[in-house]
Amino acid sequence: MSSHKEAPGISNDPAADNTDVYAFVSPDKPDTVTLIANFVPLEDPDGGPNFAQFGDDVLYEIHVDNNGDAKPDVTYQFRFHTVNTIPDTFLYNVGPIDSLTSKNWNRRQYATVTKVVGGKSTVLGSNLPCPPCNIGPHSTPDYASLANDAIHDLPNKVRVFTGQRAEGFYVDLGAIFDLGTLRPFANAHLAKMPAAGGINATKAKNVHTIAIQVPKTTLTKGSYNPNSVTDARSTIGVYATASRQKARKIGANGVVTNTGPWVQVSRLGNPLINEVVIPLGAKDKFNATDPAGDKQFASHVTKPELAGLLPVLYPGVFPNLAKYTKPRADLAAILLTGIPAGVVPGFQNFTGATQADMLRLNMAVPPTTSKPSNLGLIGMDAAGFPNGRRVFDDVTTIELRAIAGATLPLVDKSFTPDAAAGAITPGLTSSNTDVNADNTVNYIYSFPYLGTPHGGYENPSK
Amino acid sequence: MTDHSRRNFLKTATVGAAAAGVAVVVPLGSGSAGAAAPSVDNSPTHDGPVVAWVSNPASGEITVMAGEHELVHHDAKLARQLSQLAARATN
Repeated sequence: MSSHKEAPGISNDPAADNTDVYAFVSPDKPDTVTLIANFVPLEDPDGGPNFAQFGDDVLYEIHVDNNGDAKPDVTYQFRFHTVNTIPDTFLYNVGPIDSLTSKNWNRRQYATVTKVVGGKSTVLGSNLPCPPCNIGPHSTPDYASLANDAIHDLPNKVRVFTGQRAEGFYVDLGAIFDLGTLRPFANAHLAKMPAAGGINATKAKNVHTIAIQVPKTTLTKGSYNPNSVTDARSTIGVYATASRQKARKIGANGVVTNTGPWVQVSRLGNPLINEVVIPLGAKDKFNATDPAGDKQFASHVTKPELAGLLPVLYPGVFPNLAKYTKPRADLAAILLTGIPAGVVPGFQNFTGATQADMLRLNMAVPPTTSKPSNLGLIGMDAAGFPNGRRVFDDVTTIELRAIAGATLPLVDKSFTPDAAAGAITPGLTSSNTDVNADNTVNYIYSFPYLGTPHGGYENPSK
Repeated sequence: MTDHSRRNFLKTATVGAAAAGVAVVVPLGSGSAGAAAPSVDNSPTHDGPVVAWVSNPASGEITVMAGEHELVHHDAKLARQLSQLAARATN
């Protein structure tokens, strides 16, 4: 998936597992940018009595680079602490939770948000209540209100939410990891199966979301107001990380003591990079590496394994792709440097020669508020991936098509994409403006944009 | 971590780690009886848990962790004493 359990190490550490990162100009507040980092992959809504939560022992960070060196210029740090108000019960709650101060709510979590610029840390807010998990109609009868109350407006027009949301990413896990099957094209697969529509593996899953909305000028170099697409200062690089302390001692009484500096154990910029581009033996190292060191992984991007597999798995379908042997400059631009001016008319999000896996958002591109394309830039909608990433962008289809060669002519006019390159899809959306597909129905049109989490009692996975 | 706080930590933890190391290894000292009394060291010590990590005792390199910080300390004698303690722990 985008980055759910994508590496051996982090797959055993869900609280620190960064699943998706989003960065987009807020459609309802276009002078702001919304940054979202999700954690805890594949949460089952009914996973009690200890429902999913952030790690009190994890340092969560969203980083912004505004000068192209792939190093953070602005970082938002998120730390959590948990309080059990009724420690003599096994229950998460002992009655309906009708407010964030309800006495019926046992296990609560609070956030502290810190901004770091130039080595200087400023606490933006502390003891900010997270909402409870969505237990069910008896325990959390008006969940939307609870979640809404957990949206915190902080000084300097900063808005924060930290808590459970419905998974927004959609993917056909069962097919893609069964030897690269795309159900709509299964009849063309080497293993010959009947073609079928996609099955969304994340349909009934939740995640834990860290979302922050800030004025654009907070993130740019010199507080520049991004109003020119061609101005390099309009583009930022965004990635998120999770870190744990270096040493851990488990006491005989069950008390855990963590000591030492923070060590990065998870990171995410563009979707699916560590998932399907980085090879298994390098995935844990990738998670521990800062984007500024990504040059060492660049060959996996410019010669992706999947581009070699597609012609093998789908015989005769990708003949032109099979013959292409040059490094993939299109993928390097999309995923490692941003797209330079002159490649896509009227657009650029180039951050310089430093190769780094970051979401690159040109904030001067206004949000598309009428019929946005879930195919983003390749769907002629420059407000979407790979110009940042919105919650509804169909990044799996976009990256599949790019890897299959659909974007290669942008940088190599001698290449003619195979007909299938522009058509392949996991089959989870009916069109590039489909707003009724699985998961897409959950989105909301204001902060934090990801939908109300699925309730445990409703048990939507059954 | 600011440069200033890093310097303070390094200064404090270097001394603190050495003190902690001595505290750990003194019982090992085979010749402690009759040895000269150690000089009094009033340098600050760290009150919380301290973790010392020796990946290769032969190198003499000891990584000392406290709170959210660490420093790398080189002390061949201390590293060897810690590895001797480790040998005891595994026997």
